[in-house]
This record gives sequence, C-alpha cells and structure tokens, in this order.
Amino acid sequence: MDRKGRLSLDMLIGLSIFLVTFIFIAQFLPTVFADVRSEIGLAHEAYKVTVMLAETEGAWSNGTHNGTNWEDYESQWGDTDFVFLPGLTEGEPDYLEFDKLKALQNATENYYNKVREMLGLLTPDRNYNFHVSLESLDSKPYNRTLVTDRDGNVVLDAGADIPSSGYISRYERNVWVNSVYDLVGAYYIGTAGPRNVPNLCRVNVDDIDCNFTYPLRFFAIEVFGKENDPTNVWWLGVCLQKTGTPSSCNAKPDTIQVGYGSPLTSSNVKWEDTLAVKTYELTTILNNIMRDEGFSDGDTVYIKIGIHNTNATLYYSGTIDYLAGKAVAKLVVYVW
Amino acid sequence: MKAQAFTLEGVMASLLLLVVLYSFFQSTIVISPMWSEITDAQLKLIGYDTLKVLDYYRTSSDEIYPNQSLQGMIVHLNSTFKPNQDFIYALERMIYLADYRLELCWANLSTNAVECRALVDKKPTPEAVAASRIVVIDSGEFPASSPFYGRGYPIVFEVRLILWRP
Repeated sequence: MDRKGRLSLDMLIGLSIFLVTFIFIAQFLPTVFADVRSEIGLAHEAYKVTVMLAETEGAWSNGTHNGTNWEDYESQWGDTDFVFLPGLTEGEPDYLEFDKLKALQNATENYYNKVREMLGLLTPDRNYNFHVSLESLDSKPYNRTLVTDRDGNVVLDAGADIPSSGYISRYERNVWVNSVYDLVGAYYIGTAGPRNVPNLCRVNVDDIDCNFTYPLRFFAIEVFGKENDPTNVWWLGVCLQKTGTPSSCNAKPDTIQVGYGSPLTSSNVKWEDTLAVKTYELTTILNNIMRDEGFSDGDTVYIKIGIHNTNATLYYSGTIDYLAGKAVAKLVVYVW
Repeated sequence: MKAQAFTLEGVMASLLLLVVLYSFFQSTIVISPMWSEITDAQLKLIGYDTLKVLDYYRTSSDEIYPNQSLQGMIVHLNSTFKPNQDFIYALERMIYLADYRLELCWANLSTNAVECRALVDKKPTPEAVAASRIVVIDSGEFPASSPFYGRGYPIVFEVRLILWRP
C-alpha cells in the first residue's frame, strides 16, 4: 500500500491550464465591450450637448457677475476668467433665440476649444469633437439642408468637419425659432416700386411667376395698403398649377383670392378674403390645395401672383417650416 | 503514458472554452443592455419635442388656435375622433419616417373618470416609445359638433404620442 500522499501530475497540469485560461478570459472579457462602451459614451455626450443647447438659455460668469445673456459678451468669450454655457433657448425648452444661434456660430468659429470645454467635451480625461447645425425638418445626414436667414446666409453650421467614418453619434431636436421673420426672405412685390423676388421667381410687367417645390415651407404676403388712389380698386391673386405657367391671375376687385388653374373664376377659386392691411399666412392654404390636387413631395408647382394697386411684401423661405404658427426646424448635434 | 492523455484533454478543453467564448461575445447576438436606450432616447426626444412645438400658447382669448396645433386638433374633433389633415401633416412632417399611434385622454368630471380614445389607431412594435403632453381647453372653445361641447368646465387633455421605427 502506498502511504505517501501524492497529487497526480496530470491533474496539476490540467488545473493550471484551466486556471490560466480562466484568468485570461476574466481579463479579456471587459475589453470585448470597450468598443461598445465608447459608442455608448458618445451617445451620452451628444445627448448631453443637445440638452444644454436646446433646453437651457445658457449662462455666463466672469467671477464677479453672471447672467444668461452670454451672447452679448462676444468680446469676452476668449477671456480666461469668462465662462459661459452656450444655451440657445428663450427660457423655454425647444424655443430658440435667433441671436443666440448666430452667437454660437461665431463662438464656435473663433473659440472652438473653449466651447468644447464649456460643453464638457474637452476635459483632462475626455476629448470629443462636435458639430452643430440648424437644419430643415427633412434634412438628411447624407444630404443636409441648412436653414438660411432672410439674407440667404446659413444660420448655424459650426464645429469641426464631420468625419466620413468612425464612431459618430448624432442627435436631433425639433425646435422653433424666434423670430420667424429673421429666417424668411422679404421681397417687395407691390405695384409702387421696383420689385425684388426670390431666386425661383421672375418679374413680369403685370405679375410675378415662381417655380417652387411642394410642400411649401413658408409663404406669406403682408399687405400695407393701396399703392396710390384710395378710390381705385385693388386686388391680389395667387394661382397654382402643376404643369405650365398660369396665364393670368386677376382676382376679384377688393379681394385676395387663391385658386388652382388660371384665370381665376368662381369654379377654381379655393380660398378668398377681403383684401385689407394685414398679413396673409398662406403656407397651409396653398399646401392643402396642392395636396387635394394630388401633388407629391418634390413636385414642382407653378405659381403666378397677380397684383393691382397694392403695396405688398412676400415672405418666403425654402428652408424653415411654418407649422402651428411657428418657424420650425431641427437642431442637429454630432459628437465623435 | 496515462499522464499525457489527461494533459492533452486539459489543453483542448481550455482552447475550446476560449474559442467559444470569444466567438460568442464577438457576435451580434449579445447586445449590451444600454443599446436599446440609445435608440429609444432619440425617438423619445422627437416625440417630446414634437408635442411641445405643436402646443400653441395663445396670447389672447381672441386668437384662434391654428388647425395644426394640439389645441386646434382637439377643438375640431367630431364624433369620429379623426384629427384634421393640417394637424396630421404637421405631425408627420416633424416625426418624419417614424410610425406613430396617437391617443387622447381626458378627464370627465361628470363621471369622475378618465376616458381615452385612439385618434390614429396603428399597432406599435415592442420597441415603441411614448411621449405625452397635457393641454387644457376652455369649454367655450368647442363647437356644437364637438363631443366636448357644453361641458361647462375647462377640460384637461392628455395627448399621447407613441413612436416606433417602421
């Protein structure tokens, strides 16, 4: 009988190999999620940035004073003792102020790293890049439509260039902007003086022809009054067609009429009102007419504006949507 | 000689364990529990923002609620509870590409109950998210054709928007 205690060498070697393997897997497993963790981290950073921009009005402090109107201190943005959170709202989430959007554009262009720092993207243990823009509701990542102001300048498209590969997190927020008339072009279409019209329009002797795309985003006409003799009749007609330019668009005296086809008759007038000194917001009316006539998104619509003895301005935008009485767009944030 | 066989089995078993675990975690079957929250968060935000934008704040009682607003949609409901086309256009323009279900709940003080109706009755997927908003409309706003006409008290409505990716 063997009285010596003996451990089998096979068992020792097998156990050792098993333990080494087990420890190796235990060390290896967390690294499996490393890529995923960085993706998750990016998403949280992008979410945080959208909350700071779209839900807060921002703040500033220089050590002795503070406030929320950080956009008024452009000369101090670069100062080391001046800190600011570039929130964009008017005090209500999703309600953005036009001046703050422009200020963020300037701040990011001139003090990119400072803005990154203020948004928490640049810290001793974190280094993210970002890009922020104000885009149309149907803007796509591969075909971006940036919102422009009344002078045709892009309102907000700031930050580092968006990379074409790698991990990028993208968040968008539906917002509305104050005020709508900072974002739409104003074009004099009245009979009192020289007319100016959007790029897609042409001035004729008696009327104006335009080629727009359905659905219209913002289309309003502000009437200021009669051009000259107050006893003369005045009228304003808007005619839509799917193919070919409308031939004429004379409305009934003292009315504003919107119709499909031309000339305007009692059978093709879809909406009318007494012409008065006021603003006629026609976006929804025109889109409804086109929808009823079977227009599809992206279809060209031929519009003729006939106008007589009237001082008026056309407000038009091809980038900002006018929904529920608000100028609506989306704030898009990329972080990588 | 027996010792060799046991050691070889140990090596092979360890290698097999390693290969299996490696392939298992590298595949797409295992998804971190945080992933669904990432896509949820974006959709939830879109829902929240959409309802907020469509909530129309009147500056005077003479103002008419736009048809595209939540209040305009509710005021123009009739017995079919079908939202007007202007509202649907605005809603779909904002949620763009997501599918949705729209519900309306309100407090009925006569019966002390909360009643609900589906205004857009589509069936959500299991990954759907929801956002809601409370609006209050005075009883005098409702036309005679409205199911809320003549209540005599301001009615509290909850508009629920359920969104999912098709």
